[in-house]
Amino acid sequence: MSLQTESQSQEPLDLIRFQLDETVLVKLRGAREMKGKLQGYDSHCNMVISEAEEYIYEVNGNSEPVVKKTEMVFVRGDSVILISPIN
Amino acid sequence: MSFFGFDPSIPPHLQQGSGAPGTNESYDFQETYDGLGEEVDAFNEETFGDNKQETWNDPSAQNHAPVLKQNISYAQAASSTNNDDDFMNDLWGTSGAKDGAAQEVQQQQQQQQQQQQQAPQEKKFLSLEEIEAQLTAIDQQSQQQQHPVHPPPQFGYPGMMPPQFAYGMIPPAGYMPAPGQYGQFMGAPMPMPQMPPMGYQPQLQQQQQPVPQQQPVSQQQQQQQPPVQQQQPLQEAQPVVPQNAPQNAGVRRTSKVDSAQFPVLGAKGQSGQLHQQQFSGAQESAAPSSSPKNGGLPSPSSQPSFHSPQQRNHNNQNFHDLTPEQQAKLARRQEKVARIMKYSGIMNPRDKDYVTRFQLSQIVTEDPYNEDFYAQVFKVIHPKANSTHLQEHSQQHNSIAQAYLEQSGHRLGGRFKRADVALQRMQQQVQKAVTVAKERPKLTQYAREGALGKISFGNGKKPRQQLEIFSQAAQREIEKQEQLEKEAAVEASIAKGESDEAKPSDAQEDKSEFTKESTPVSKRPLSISAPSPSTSSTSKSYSKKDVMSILENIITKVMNLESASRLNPQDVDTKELWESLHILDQPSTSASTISEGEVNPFIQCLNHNKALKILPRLFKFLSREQILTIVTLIMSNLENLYVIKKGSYTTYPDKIVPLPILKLIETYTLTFSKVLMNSVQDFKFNEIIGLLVILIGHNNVSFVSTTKIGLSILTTLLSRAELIKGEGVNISATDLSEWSSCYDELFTSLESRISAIFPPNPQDIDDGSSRENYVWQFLATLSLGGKLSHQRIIVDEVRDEIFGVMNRAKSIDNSDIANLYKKQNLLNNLNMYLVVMGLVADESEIKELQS
Repeated sequence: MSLQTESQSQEPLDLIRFQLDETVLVKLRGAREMKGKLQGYDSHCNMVISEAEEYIYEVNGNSEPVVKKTEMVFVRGDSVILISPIN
Repeated sequence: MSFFGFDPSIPPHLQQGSGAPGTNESYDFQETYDGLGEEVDAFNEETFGDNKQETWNDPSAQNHAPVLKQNISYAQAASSTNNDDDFMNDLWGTSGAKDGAAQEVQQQQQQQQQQQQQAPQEKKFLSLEEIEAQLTAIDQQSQQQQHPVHPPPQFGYPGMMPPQFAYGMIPPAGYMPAPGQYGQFMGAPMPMPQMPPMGYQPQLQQQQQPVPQQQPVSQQQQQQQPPVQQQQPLQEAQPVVPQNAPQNAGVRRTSKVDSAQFPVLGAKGQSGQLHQQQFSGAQESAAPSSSPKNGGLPSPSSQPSFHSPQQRNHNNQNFHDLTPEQQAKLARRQEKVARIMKYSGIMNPRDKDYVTRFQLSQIVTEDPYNEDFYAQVFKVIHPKANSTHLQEHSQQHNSIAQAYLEQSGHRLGGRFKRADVALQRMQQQVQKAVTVAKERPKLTQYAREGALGKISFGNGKKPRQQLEIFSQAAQREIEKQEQLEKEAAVEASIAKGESDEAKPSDAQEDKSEFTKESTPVSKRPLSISAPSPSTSSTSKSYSKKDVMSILENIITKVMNLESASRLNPQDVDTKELWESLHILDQPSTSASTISEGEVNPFIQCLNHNKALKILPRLFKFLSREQILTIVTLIMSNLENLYVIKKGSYTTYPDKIVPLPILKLIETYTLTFSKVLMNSVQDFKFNEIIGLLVILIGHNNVSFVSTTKIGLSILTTLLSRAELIKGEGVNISATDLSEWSSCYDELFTSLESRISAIFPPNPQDIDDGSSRENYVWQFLATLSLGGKLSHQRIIVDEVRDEIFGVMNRAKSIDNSDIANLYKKQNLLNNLNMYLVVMGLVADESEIKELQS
């Protein structure tokens, strides 16, 4: 049974809010993904992600994705496709 | 029709007689442009500081001297020997400062005047016509000199920019100049004699001497042409210095001569001249007419434009006289000026006000601590030296204005250093912005609210949504809330009516409630049933989302309380916060029967870093009883914490705790352990015993003891109990007997497993680099509380570990300076335990402590 505890929290973006300070997977346009700890976000889904690992996939190739690590990164919201918690 | 009050349909040559008395005026730069500029943009200056002036500084400074020299006739300029050099020096700033040049000019002028006074007597060979011409010039000049002193155009036309246009409303179309109109302005001949282009003078000089009557190219030239032409006969007759005098001096004499009769002016076919007359006419009428005629239109016509084709043309010609570098430099400068001037005058003061206020409204907030938190923190960290608390309110506006001025690139001061004016102006703007922000309708004030969802208002941080539609669930929730509030209000009013004498304040009620809640623990410390699962039949399961939502809610509440306490530290209502913690919702224990989701949500929250980080801030707002309740809950749920459940090496096949858990443990030591240690200071002896009993009763102590956090919790409780016991104040005999039985119970559950508290790879947890070792700390505390028999058992069990540490200490070579401190740390940590039993160890042996 799920529990609606908070009356105020009914925005879709709350799902992102709940992931603050948690590790998230962000799927981005351009065959990229970003994993890291969500430090902040705004209504445009601009996000600041720390300890981020960016995975750049080759569009048709099956080879391993290129991984870039960044300590702190700003992700602009217009390239975000989805945000999901990792656990 | 015309915007400038002159009629282009009339042939130009007909206009000159009536239209343009200003044909041969010679402008002093300071009088002309500056004056006009200020008239036009007086508000600009006030609003933004003297930036316009400053912008102009660069070219004007360079032009200053040459312009002044224009006051002298060109002929004089041409004949003066050092003129060229001077000019170049002035222009490029290689030698004499402009002041020097100006002085020189002044001297020259004085000279001229003297000469001129003598002129009529001495120079008998002047023809009557020539004299007339001079006098005419004088007359016109004197008329022209009044010209720059227009009444300043008014900008505050009623209805031009009604104040309610501010904030998001688009001014009516009529307010903005139509593009066509504007183009017309730009294309129209404009008065622009105020600012002669650079390098103008040398051209004139060079052109005039060989071909004095050459068709003028630039407007400025045209304007200056008549005097030159007047001088022409003189020049021929007397080609030495004094000849120039009459023109300039004549300026101050008067004699009415119809300008149309003036031969040069009247000369037909001099199209340039005619053209120029138009300009003068236009100029004459432009500024004054802009007020009645143009109405609300911003009047760029009255703004000088500095990139007319004519001027460019002129400049191009001028290029040939300069060296390539100079040309390049000149080109750069002119390009810069053109760039700066390109859009000057597009906005009128009202426009600027509007934009400024619009920008300011984004900055202004009534709730700086929430909306502008980091800036506030920054202010606290870097306090301004001059800030006083007395004028805090005005200071705030002041600082906003200051910040705005700094950030938006409007340099304060300018030539006249009118920073204070600009600042004042900005403060007014800020105040206006604040007022309007306050007047903005609040969410609840809207009539249509509810009919089509919620009507939303944007602010600087959150752009406006057209319509905000609640989910049905949320809608129901709100309705329910309202219902409850109504009922509560009704009840309250009834209660008030019934019993006026009682009047229990809310806070008091809260307190009594809390004490009631916590009494079961504090009063019956030995009853193990503090949170009894039996009471709630509704065993809810919390999804991860629920937990996160609760957690975020807690964080929000804490932050709200923090901001409230900043405003009003005395009166902080923590009731909501307490409720949001859900401490008493799910009195779960560490029993193995319940699933992970059924654990109390607060305990589940404690598995997240952010909950731990907020703990110190959270505990600040809680009363002692509330904290005790929370700690009790945690004690009964220790094994439900990830940090305990997954923090023991025993659960992993390779006996190594994985990295994420290690990180979590690290966070716990930094946050939770400290908070707990502080809280425990406030607990009474019997409360601590109660906590220990609950811990022992609800958890597998031997398992908990294999985790770092579990062990440090035990250490904290035990050491506090020992301290209180050592103080010996207010400890009853029953307390003591309870304590000893509690200790026995704890010891029994640990006995024979004490060595297990050491992780299998001791160097993992303590390679000597740390000054603390939680395991030895725990053993020290445990031994301290125990009798000799207890101590003996402990020593027996950990003997191997003691010798292990000694060996490791020994293995660090004494010559290894870099690691020597580790040896010391290892031994110190070990001795912390041994000292309790009156022993001390070095790397090779254990001795009795010599005191």
